Amino acid sequence: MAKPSNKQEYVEPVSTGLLFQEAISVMSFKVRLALVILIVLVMFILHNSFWLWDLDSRLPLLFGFMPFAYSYYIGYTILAVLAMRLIIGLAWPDPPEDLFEQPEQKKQVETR
Amino acid sequence: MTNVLGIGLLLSYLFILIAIGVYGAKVSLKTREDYFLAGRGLGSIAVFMALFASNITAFTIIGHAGFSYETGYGAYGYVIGWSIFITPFTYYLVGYRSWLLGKKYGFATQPQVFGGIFNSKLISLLMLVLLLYYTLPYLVVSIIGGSLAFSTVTEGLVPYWVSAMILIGFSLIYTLPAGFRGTVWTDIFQGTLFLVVAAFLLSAVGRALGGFSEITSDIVQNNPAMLERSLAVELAPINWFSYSFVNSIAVVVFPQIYTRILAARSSSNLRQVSLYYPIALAVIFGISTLLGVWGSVAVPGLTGKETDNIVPLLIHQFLTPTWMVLGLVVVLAVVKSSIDSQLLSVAHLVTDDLLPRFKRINSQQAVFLGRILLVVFAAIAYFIALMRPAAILSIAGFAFSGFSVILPVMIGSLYWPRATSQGACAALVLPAIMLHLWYLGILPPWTTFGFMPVFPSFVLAVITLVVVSYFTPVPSPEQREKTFGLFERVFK
Repeated sequence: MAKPSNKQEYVEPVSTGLLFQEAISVMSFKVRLALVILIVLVMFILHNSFWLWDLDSRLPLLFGFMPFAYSYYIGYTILAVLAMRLIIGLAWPDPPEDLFEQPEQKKQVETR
Repeated sequence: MTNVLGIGLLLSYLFILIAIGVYGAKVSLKTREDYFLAGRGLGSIAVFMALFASNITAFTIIGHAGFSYETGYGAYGYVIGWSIFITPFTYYLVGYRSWLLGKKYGFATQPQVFGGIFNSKLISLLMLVLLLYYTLPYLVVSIIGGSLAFSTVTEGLVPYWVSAMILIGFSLIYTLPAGFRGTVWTDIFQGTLFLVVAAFLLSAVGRALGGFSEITSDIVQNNPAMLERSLAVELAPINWFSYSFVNSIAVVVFPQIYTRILAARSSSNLRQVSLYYPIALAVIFGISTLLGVWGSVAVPGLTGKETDNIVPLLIHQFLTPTWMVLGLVVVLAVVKSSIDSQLLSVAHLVTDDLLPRFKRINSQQAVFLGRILLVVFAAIAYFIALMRPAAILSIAGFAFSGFSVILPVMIGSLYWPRATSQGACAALVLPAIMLHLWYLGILPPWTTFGFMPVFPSFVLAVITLVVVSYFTPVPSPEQREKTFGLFERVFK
């Protein structure tokens, strides 16, 4: 993608892959939003995974100093980044370029 | 404290803050949007560090380490686990749509955004009152916590009242002249500082205790309960589940956080923040957890409030005096980065949403009044922090829950075109009343069915919004078009 020539800082778009982009392009926004809700529910269940607490005392220490109760959330952090990446690909479009170029942009902040 | 290197570090830190204040004032325009929102021009790193540094308080380094000392490794998941995902997710869920409305219509605060969605001055006023009501005690408690930590780290050399004065004074040095821009620049500086120093501190403590593996073996042998979540009473599953509704989802409701989102330059900036935010949260709380748990075998025997001293005690007993000064700088950085943003957001809310109800204020007057209000609120917060009245501490105790139960109205307003202003009003007031009845002990504990009061209050907010909205007239097409017409153009 070419860098925009205006003053706006160029921010590398979050890449989501061609196949993925093709797949989501055929989904309606409601379906994509439903998938986002599903991701949130999965993350919530993974956080409240009380059935795994038995492993706290049974699994060996990760890297020799991180017990399961701790290392689980290292893994959870990686999953959270992946989940956010997926959500961004599914349901976080950029606004159209002309969205803010309406008469309403005469901002009330400065005139209030 | 007489260590020359240490004093040099402290003076350098202070000098950088003053330089930021002076330069920030020089480049800032004397307009309302520039002083309170940095002209909505924050790039990815600035938004990221501004959100992160404002999100991290003295609790992260002091309180969380103390909690980990008592409950073990499970404290990590309990306190920050759900936040690692849901906090950046709320930056998308609430933040992005609010940012679109703010950019389109010039909204700069929650009362403006949500009052604007419903075209209702009452919603705007209710939001304002609730946000001030929860933020002011939270600010005072931040000052109290920070001052106690400062006093502890200096081993009482700097008394509590002087510590509070230093924290507030240092915050005003750059906030007063440079406004929002000053707080963001110092957030970048201070956020980086406390992340780096905390990582070095962990490494130094680890080495001093014989190495990461050695200290963990010691824990396995002498205090195995630290490894098992099921052995900690505080981490009972019902508390674990309820806590998901306390601090993690409340963050986006804090006015100082919400305003920072509105100040982002572009959608891409916000996306980058949401993507990498989990890592920053996991790192800083991960360090604090390890320090607390290691402390439980290195400095055993602490109970109750004493556990909050574990990090200063570790530094004092195992590291050199220079580390003590570095620890002091970390405490200063962590505490000030939240105090300055809270002070500014309170001044912003009053300047932008309360005063214009009585008198028309132009942009330059708003900046002038904002600066006066900053000093006034700083002075009020200082005197309340000195007196520590029980009522304020009691409200602050459930301020996080209070912020959380505002969230359903924010989400409903941004996603549900059928939501009405009456529904939103009822969903703001009723859960807030119930929360008070539960926390002040007016209602018996069994009425929460064993959950923390925040959970039934949150559910009540959702039900109230839906039921009252269905029983009140549908919002006008013009009103819906203003918000949802805009969203339909973006989310296709």
